[in-house]
Amino acid sequence: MYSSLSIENFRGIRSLRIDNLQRINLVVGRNNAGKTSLLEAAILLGGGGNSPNVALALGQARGQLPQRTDEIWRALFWQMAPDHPVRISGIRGGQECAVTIEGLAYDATPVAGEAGVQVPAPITTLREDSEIGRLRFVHHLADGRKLETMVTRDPNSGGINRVPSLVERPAIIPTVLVPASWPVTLEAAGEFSALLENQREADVVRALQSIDPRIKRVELLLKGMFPTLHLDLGLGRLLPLAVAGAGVVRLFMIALKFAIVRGGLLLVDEIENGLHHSVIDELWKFVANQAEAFDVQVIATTHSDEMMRSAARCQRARSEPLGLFRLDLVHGEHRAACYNDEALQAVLESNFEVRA
Amino acid sequence: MSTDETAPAPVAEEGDSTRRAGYTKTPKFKIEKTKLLLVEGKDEDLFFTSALEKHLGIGSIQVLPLAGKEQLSRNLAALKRDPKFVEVTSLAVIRDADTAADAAFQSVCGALRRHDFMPPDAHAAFSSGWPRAGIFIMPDGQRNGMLETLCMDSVAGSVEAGCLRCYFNCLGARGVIPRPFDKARAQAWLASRPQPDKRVGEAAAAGYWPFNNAAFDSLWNFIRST
Repeated sequence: MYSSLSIENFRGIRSLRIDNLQRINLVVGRNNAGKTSLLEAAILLGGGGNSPNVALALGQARGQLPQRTDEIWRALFWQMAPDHPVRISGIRGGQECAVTIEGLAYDATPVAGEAGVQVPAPITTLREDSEIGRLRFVHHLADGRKLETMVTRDPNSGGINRVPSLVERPAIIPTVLVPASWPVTLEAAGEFSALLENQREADVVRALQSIDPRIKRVELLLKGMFPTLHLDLGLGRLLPLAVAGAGVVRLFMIALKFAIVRGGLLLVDEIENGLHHSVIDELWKFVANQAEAFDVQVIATTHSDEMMRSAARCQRARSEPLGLFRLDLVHGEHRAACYNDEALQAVLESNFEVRA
Repeated sequence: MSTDETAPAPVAEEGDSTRRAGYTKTPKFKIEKTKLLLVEGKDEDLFFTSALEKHLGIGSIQVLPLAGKEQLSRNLAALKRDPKFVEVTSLAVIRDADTAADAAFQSVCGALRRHDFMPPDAHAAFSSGWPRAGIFIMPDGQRNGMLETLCMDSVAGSVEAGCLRCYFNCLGARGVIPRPFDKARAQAWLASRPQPDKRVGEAAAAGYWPFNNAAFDSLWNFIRST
């Protein structure tokens, strides 16, 4: 598990460090305090750079158009300035791992890089007409190795490619982000299949029953050429999961991810979305149990005071710590206030406003 | 998702006209001023807020009911994590001596030190750290007692106080000694007021305590130096 994360020059964050991370962590703060950016940074640190499209995926999740690749890539950098490379690092098991991201131009003069690979010179001055032609990810692993991934963009077609000399690698640390709003996807059907294969689908069904006790099972049906997820509510006909209530879909998408990121990190943005206050205690019990069962670390963001207090109560009942952090932007600098056990007890017993 | 915070209010106590059963919106503690006065509970909150507004005319101090004996340390832990705490310049703590004034003073010092605040060297004084931290142990840093002790000092010369001496002597002669005694005295004195069902803080808001009495002088001086 990560015990700390550090972020430099990523999106709106010039510098931010979070220490004392626990297995279950909750991040609060005002709008634009950097909560979602923190989760995105963790995705990139976990080896998301291995996917040529990870930066695009992060941008699209925020609503950026996939055709505006330069804009999406540029938005990764603090103040949209790629001459400040991104650096994200974490301490895991007492050892540091990190990723740096550089934005490179199309037409820069190549220089000799690692192992003789020709690497275009980084952009050293920001020009309004400079397009980012390449993104260079360098992962610094805990065992001292460096892994490079170069993602290039064809200036004519706009297509995204990987430098051919590099090979596909699995994620360095399994990491998944459940965005604030995420409909049922084709991918989810595949992930549920993996749960079925490991006979772990009952955990998901039990979680869903906390919202709707009528749910008997989740089924995978082949409709045409596509597998789709359905619910059995005892109605005599299966209901497509996609048309179930937002809370059911939300909880399903969260529940699905634990087996996928076994031993890794599950990130959930605005965990409270779609969930009625009456189910949040059950949600946290489920999350804590699954996190322990699959050895998963969870970092979630929330705007909800109820969600925060429920998480604190749940962890207290389990005699396990909750990592509660509030991100603040003070005079342009990001800070993370960590609520230790004593402060958390005061929050629960008194009526402190933690969220700012 | 709505983040409205509602919490169940306690069931209304008999004769308590200020509370009602059912759900009520509980205001959150938020730092709103650069000078904070931490007192023990809601009654003290009302007492000192009334004193600041009606008698001292000080608008720059925010009263927070966070100094309870068991809660002060953890409340300081939460308070210093508030994003606005960086703007706080003074932190004053008022606590009852109860049966040991010096122990109460040392307890508050300990809580301040635990959270890296510099405590004052003495009762009714402030330290030079950031924020400046001051401690006042009711009633005067030396005697046993509480806020009610000081309030009763302020009305010691009143006719009603004379009647109360007879009343409590009569009780004492029959083996009835209410504890804490100063609370009983204060409530008995307040029972002689036009609206006889008020607590100490409510009585302050109603103007029943003579804030200009010399008994309060050292307390007001402390608050003015916050």
